[in-house]
Amino acid sequence: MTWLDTLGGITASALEAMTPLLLAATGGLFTELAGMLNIALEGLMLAGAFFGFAAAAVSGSLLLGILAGALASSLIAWIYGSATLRLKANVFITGLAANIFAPSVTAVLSAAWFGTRSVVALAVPEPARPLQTSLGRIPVLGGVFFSQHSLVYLSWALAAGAAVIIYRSVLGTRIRATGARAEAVAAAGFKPDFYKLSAIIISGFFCGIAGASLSLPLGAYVPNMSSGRGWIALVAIYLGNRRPGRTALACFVFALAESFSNYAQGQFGIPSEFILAIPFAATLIALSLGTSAKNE
Amino acid sequence: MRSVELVGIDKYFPSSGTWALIQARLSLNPGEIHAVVGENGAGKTTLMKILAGLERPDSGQIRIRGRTVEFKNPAEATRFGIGMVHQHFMTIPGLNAAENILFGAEPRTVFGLLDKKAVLRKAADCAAGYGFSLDVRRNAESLSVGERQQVEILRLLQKNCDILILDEPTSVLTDQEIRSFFSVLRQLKASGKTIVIISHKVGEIKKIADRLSVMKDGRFLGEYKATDISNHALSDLIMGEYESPRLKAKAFPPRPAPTILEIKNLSLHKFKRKAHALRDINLSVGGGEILGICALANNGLSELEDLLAGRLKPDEGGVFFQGRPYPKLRKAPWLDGGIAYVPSDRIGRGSCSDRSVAENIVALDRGSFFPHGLLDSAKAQARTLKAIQVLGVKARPESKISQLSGGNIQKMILGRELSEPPAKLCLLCEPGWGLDYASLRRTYKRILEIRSRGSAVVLISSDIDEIMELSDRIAVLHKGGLTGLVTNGPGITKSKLGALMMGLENVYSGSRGTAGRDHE
Repeated sequence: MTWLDTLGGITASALEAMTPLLLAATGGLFTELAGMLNIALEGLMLAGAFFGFAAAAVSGSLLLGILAGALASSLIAWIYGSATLRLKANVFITGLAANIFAPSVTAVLSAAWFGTRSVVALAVPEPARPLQTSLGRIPVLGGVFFSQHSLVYLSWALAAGAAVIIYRSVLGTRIRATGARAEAVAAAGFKPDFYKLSAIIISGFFCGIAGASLSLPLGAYVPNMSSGRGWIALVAIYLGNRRPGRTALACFVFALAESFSNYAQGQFGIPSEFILAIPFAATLIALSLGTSAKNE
Repeated sequence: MRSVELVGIDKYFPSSGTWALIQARLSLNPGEIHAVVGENGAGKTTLMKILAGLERPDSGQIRIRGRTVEFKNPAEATRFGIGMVHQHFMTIPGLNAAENILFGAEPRTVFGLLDKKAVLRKAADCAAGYGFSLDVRRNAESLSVGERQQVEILRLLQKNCDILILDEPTSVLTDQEIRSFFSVLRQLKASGKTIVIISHKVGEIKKIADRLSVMKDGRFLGEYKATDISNHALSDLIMGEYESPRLKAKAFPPRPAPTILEIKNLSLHKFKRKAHALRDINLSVGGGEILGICALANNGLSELEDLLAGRLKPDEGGVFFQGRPYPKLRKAPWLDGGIAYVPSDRIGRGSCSDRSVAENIVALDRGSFFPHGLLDSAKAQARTLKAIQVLGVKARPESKISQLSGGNIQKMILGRELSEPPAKLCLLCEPGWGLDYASLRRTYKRILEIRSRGSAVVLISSDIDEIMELSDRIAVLHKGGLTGLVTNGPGITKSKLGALMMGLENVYSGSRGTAGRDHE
């Protein structure tokens, strides 16, 4: 295997690993721009992973699975948002509650529906690799960019769509204005809370699909399978300066770290604990570098 | 027919336990500029918020063009053509000027997306139509205060508002901006708009208003034609009695006093991408002396404030407090009474807006109220009451700062920083900002009193009147360098200082060290 193949392999798996991160970060971007720090991304992803997987297993349809994941996560986000905005609960406490609620409700339902609280592996349709037989034949690039499964391309399309919504739609403009100066939105005769709630539900929608993109390609639901990606997504938003393009780039860097750590296991004779810490160490380093760059 | 009539308006604020309005009234004729005048806390802003639908009256009637109405929110007032520009502007950062102007009524394309071209075109047309020279493509963050005000006014005009309420519109503008603002107002009046200006600046009102309504302590005192009432009589009405706030400091015989603050060869090279923010500044202030420092906007005044407040470090030179390098913290124990600091930014730096008056005084005061690590509440309470009394803050100790008017916040900060015992060094930045005549007078009196007790006072202000009123010596900055360091007296005129501020003249000898303290 040449070094080029190795690099291609790492990049290809980075693009796959980037999918849930990109979706969660895109969702989190909406709440961030609406002026709220959404710490519930992690829990929302997990709900999406479970319900998406369960629906796909029962219906045998990948699309229904994705939709169910998005819907369930949006619903939790709606409850979380209403508690925060209508009942005026502290956003951190409700976010924390959502993060605790998601793994517990999935554990209960997992025991009830599948008879286990641990890993559930069932036959779900495998996502297609739509371009593999055509553009995928291009040497190197084909393997990296065009042999991905459909959820990867879906995430790109959704992220691009989100950028259009944020900058070119009326809803996006209002959400941004709410985050920048809520009094001005109120003075213009709109309800800032409506735009905040919209942003939270949109973030739930994206996180649901992010979760589904973890469980569906794997064909299994693993408890806590989001494993910190919701938090890394928040860091990516911060490093991306709350802009869609830069946030996506930050997601790619983190995904690259993850994919490199997967590759490096069993390569260099370094204890796997250290190798597995690479993505988190990368997050920490990126965050400190990003912060000092911003303060310049 | 009157375009607006407010009759018998009462408003009680349970949170502060005060009657903001008692049987207040107002009537506006179509196409006039009408001033609502009174001291801080007279109820002007509350009355106007009721007209704009932001507050609801406890009782009373609002009649628009003869029709009795009730506004539940600002949008309903807008439908009747009423719009308000607030004292703190509501420009939305992240959007450009055009998007700000058309916010809430953006043109859309067939796909329901924003039509950015149409937004720009419509906003530019609106601006040009009313004779505003504003580049609507610019980002809101890059606009000057005057331009932000134009955006706010255009936003209302674009919604077809024909009754515009402006809350203290000139308090944030420079003299030059005020002139062009007034010509904008005259143009709006010519196009048939009714304009209400809330203000406490008698001189300005007389220049621009057709008629005026006077308010005091929540009550309506009377309505006058601007030409029928003298400045003197108007001030009498506003304050109850007339007394010039300009006490004209009695020439204080300069006496040798120990230098308290010394600025030596101070330079700040790059700040916010501005080369040479400050160049080779040498100044010193002794006990019992007021050094006024003035400049036009963006000429180094705010950088100098940040340096003296310990928020910036100089690139060259240094600042010394009684011969020792300037402290990082103004509460350092060896400061002996500390440094009093009234920041030019009263909301961001001077106070925590979601905390109470008492907490703001106790937590940010020079003294400490934690003798054994625990709060000495008796001492803290006594201090709070004293600080409130210094300038008569109209609020309870437990009221939140965010519920206070701008002038009251400033009074709270001044009361905290200038109360007994006086600090060795007082760094006062724009102390008169937003204050009414009576408070201004008391503030000036207090500053002079502190000087005579032996404190050194550094007065940083863009208000030349204030500088000339209080200073013993005046330093003038232009483009970050000193253009003058003069002893205040009969020879010092506004036009002389103006020439120095604009860099037309330079009388600074450039001498170093202690030459500045030379009183001839």
